[in-house]
Amino acid sequence: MKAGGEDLLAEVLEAFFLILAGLMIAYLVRHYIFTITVLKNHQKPKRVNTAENITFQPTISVLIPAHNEEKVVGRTIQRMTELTYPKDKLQIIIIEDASTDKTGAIADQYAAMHNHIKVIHRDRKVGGRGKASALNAGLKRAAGEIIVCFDADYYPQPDFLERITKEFVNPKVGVVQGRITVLNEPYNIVTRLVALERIGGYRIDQQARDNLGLITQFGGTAGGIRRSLLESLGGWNESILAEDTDLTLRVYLAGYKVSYLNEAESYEEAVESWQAYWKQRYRWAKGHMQCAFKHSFNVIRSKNLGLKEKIDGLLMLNVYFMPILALLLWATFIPLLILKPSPLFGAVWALLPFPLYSFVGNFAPFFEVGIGTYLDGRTRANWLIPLLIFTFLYNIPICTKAFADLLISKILGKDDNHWEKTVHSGNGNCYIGS
Amino acid sequence: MLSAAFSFIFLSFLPLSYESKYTIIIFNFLFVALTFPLNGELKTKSAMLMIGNIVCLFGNLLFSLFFAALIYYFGESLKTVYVFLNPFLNLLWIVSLWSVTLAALASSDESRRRRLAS
Repeated sequence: MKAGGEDLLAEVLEAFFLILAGLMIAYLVRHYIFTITVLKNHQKPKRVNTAENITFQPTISVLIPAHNEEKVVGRTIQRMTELTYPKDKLQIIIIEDASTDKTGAIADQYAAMHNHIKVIHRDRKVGGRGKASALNAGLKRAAGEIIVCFDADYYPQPDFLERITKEFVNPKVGVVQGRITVLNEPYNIVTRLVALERIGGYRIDQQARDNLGLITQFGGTAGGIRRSLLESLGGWNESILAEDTDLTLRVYLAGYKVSYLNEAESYEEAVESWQAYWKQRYRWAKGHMQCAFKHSFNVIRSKNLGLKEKIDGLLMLNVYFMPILALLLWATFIPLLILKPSPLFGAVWALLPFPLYSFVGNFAPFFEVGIGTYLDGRTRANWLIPLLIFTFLYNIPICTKAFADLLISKILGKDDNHWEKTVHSGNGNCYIGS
Repeated sequence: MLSAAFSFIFLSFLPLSYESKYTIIIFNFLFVALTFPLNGELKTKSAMLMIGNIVCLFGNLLFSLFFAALIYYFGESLKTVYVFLNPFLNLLWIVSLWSVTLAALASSDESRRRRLAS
């Protein structure tokens, strides 16, 4: 009887193990394909749109939501004045979102000096409810055909807008996403590791998705969207923490696509402590999981998506569950090894630690990050790749807590969407040449 | 794929555990597929590939002998620990070697570009 029970347990564990292992291996294969795709395509001529060769110049409204960003917002607005896009076709809207510091005053100074810069002040009654809410407030005042978003700590190339706008010539392109690079990378080990994550995520992941015609992700910043499309979709979703992922899925489900342009680059100030990393990634994980619950079924049913887009969309939506599943997988393997040792498990097991060197968000394994840094011409950044193990291990409790909190809120019927803002120190300012 | 096949044939003659053999196959497959298409001298890439295989063979041999001794003294239950830990420990050198190789290739590529520019 006891042996029968053990056999049954072993069978259940085996099935569970193989399903989880299959999922892990699917992600690994996906990212292997991504890496090979970018490696094969990187020497092809690039489609770069610069101020010189551009002919299509729609009107643009740039939205910059800012909540207590006095240390960085001046730098960003200053950069907006340096953009090479024609000023008569450009509108900059700073949404000062219930700040308690000098953010509003700094923005007002610039607005007084430049006609194309407007400031929306939101008091505590209506403001401070997160980025999506602030962006929707900005959208009401926006007049441009294209809406471009930047976070308050962003520092784009001067011709960023020229580069992305030409992509909109294609009527199927609803959104164009530019590349995000870490400005304060040399600051400490956290910023260096985040920079590696960003390289893997944008240089390889986003590029490969674009090349392969999969679901390219709109990161919610350093990108533009057609205003008509955004309005038809009802603006940004304020009830989801990952409003960017939600918008990406809605754009694809509406029959449009997101285009990625690696040559349109913008710097960002990365989180500088493990505590800030936790808060940011917790918000991303929870928001992404909300999107997974909301959109997974829609993706499967969609008539606007092909099979490969559906598969990629599902993998992308569920990526934040992977660290939790990895933990379960490792926990399953030990009893299975005792109850039912087999060479097959050994073979699968040999492959499974590889996701350890992945990071959450794009789940880019170490080889993807490595190829990204190589293609960027980075000579020493690769030395830090072995340390990515810490970020992955750190993401296990982050994602587990996000999942647990989401489940509890679903059970209780109370959606807690408190926006934990990332604090920017302005330490990146010193890396910008005068 | 070819590198993985060669590794498999070669490894079948060696007294290594299944886990170690699989790891070497994965290493060779990833290394050849992702490093050889990059710019850089073939001899550098081949040397790094060979170093990787030597590290892997000796490391795994030592590790398996060490565990064989532990299992002899402390019992069969340690075999589970060996199987569990083996791929994780292998991954540490795989990722490190991969990183060093990429850094070396990127540096030589950078020097080559500078030489051409000057």
